[in-house]
Amino acid sequence: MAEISQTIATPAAPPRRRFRWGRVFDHAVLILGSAFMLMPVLLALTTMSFSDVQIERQGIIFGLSDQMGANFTKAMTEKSGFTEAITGTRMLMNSFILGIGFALGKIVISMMAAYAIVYFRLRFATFAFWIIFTTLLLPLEVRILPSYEVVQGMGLTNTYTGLIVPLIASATGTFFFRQFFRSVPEEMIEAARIDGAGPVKFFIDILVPLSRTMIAAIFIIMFVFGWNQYLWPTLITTEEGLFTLVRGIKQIIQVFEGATIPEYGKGLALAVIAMIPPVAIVVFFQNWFVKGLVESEK
Amino acid sequence: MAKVSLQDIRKVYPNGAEAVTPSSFDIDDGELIVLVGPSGCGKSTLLRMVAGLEDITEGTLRIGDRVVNDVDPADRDIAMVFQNYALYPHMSVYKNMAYGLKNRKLPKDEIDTKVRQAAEMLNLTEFLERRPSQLSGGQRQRVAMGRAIVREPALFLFDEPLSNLDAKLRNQMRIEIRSLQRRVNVTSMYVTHDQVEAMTMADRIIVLNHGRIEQIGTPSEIYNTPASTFVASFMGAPPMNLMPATYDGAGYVRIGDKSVAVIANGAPKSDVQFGVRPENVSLTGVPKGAALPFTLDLVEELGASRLLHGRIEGHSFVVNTANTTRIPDGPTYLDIPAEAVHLFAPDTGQRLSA
Ligand SMILES: Nc1ncnc2c1ncn2[C@@H]1O[C@H](COP(=O)(O)OP(=O)(O)O)[C@@H](O)[C@H]1O
Ligand SMILES: [Mg+2]
Repeated sequence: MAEISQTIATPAAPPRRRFRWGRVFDHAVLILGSAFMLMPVLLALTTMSFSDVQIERQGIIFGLSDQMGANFTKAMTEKSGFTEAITGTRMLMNSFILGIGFALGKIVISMMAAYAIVYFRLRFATFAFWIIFTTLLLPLEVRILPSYEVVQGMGLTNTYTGLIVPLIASATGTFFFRQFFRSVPEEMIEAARIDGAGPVKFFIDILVPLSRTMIAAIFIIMFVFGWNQYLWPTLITTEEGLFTLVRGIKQIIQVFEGATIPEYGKGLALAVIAMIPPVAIVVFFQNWFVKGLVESEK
Repeated sequence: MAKVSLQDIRKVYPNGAEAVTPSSFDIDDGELIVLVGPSGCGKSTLLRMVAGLEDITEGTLRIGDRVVNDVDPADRDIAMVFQNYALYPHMSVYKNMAYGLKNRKLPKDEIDTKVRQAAEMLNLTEFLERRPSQLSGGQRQRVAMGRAIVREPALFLFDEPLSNLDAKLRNQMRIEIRSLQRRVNVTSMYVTHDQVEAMTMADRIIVLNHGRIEQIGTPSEIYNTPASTFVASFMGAPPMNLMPATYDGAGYVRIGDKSVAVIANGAPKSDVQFGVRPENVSLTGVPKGAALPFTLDLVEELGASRLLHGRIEGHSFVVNTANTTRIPDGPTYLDIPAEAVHLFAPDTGQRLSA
């Protein structure tokens, strides 16, 4: 998350800026904070520019050498793992499948749940909502064994379905969409009814477009969240072809431990690669993100 | 275009509140009926029952020849304009107007013709590609009108459509809506809490109070022969002066120790509420005939007219005079013509005089 703090725009400077120590202090704190957060990333980058032998000998290295490109190439293209079935590219793709599937799944499910709760006179709508809400108290980590049992019983281990579907129920998403839907003016719903829009049409023609920024914001949060999943993928995917980056890095370094020098350079390169997409998404969609959370177009 | 008929329409909300007591009236083809009354009197509820947005607890609603109690709003052949316009913010003006037609599966070119015609009529042609957020309040109001017009419904429903506009624009839109309604000649129900809007726009006015119809009549009937003290004080600005008095059964009303001649059409001797519109009395400096002494407290200048606030026999009383009227320096008296006096029952507030 370190990079994010750097990209937050400073407010437009007043025309004639007076020098103030307070400002210097503020900036010093911010710069120190970012440096502190960024340091590990920087060290990973510098260290991976050395060969594995040197890293094994010196540990973390501050400085630059010539192995960076080679390590990146190796990380992306070299087949590795116990069964030699996976490359960095493949892991990157798996991570994307998980991140996007996870985010989209959550959005679709939670939007529909919120729609049902807010717009239909369900007998126990409020109760249902609170039930959904209490699942916040039961994160995956708590229910991991039963979840695993169920998924395995359905024969979904080592499938993308098994990897994604058990994760997509989302109390947070449902909550956000519920709040948003409740703020849509009643008259708009009534106008749509008079205009002949049934429940499905209203959802697709009116609610979904109105929720655009909200969807974008939740997509970003959930993509990063899904991308960084570790425990569940570790449990559910034992075939290396399905490994995600976050789960695979450790495997690569560990494989030959003891016998040869671990592939430190490659591992660090993968770690850096694993960081890029979430950061990129947040940086590029920052505006949408902020808009989605603070304002609604009504 | 259609006749609309309400028969004993009643509304009880699930929480037990009776928002509309059984009410009946008919609206003629092409007529504009204004429902007026203070906030919370059930105007919106009544209108929304006609729209199909609220269930009708009891009674029969007909639009045209069809009983529509259980018909979906989309199939009632109505169009509604809301106070906050309720435009779809993510759609262009064009799409806002076309949406209802699209849902009714009209061919594209037909939709296009209708939308452009309506836009032409409402001076919206140059804004067709804009979003509602890029329009002024008055323009949004017109888009909402356009959305109603393109549908060519049997009935227009308006729920306080001008309340969100500033006073000047409100006057202008009032005239626009009225002339548009005349032009397209669609039966209309128009809800407002503003009595000026009601008087100026209506073919007939329905005055509501606490979910009950107080009076139905043309603007001049409502103004000249209010059916109750409620109507008398609600319609007209400044409101009618009302004060307790006694009627002697023989053509005179006693206020304190003064009497005023009235036309009471055989009402019996009784206590009454005595009502006079502020604009129907004249101020004099000489105590001739039955003139009542008037204690002047305050003069309020309104430009073309002045309001004189004062007292008759201890009861506050307002007089509306032209700004050309000279205010006498000494004691002032009011000349109250017999035909300007309204008498109401003191308990029920119902009209006694003709
Ligand atoms: N959904 C509802 N549930 C219960 N009571 C309601 C509801 N809507 C309106 N009311 C009540 O019904 C009465 C009439 O409301 P309304 O028709 O909105 O008044 P108006 O439009 O004349 O201001 C009010 O007393 C209001 O509190
Ligand atoms: Mg209302």
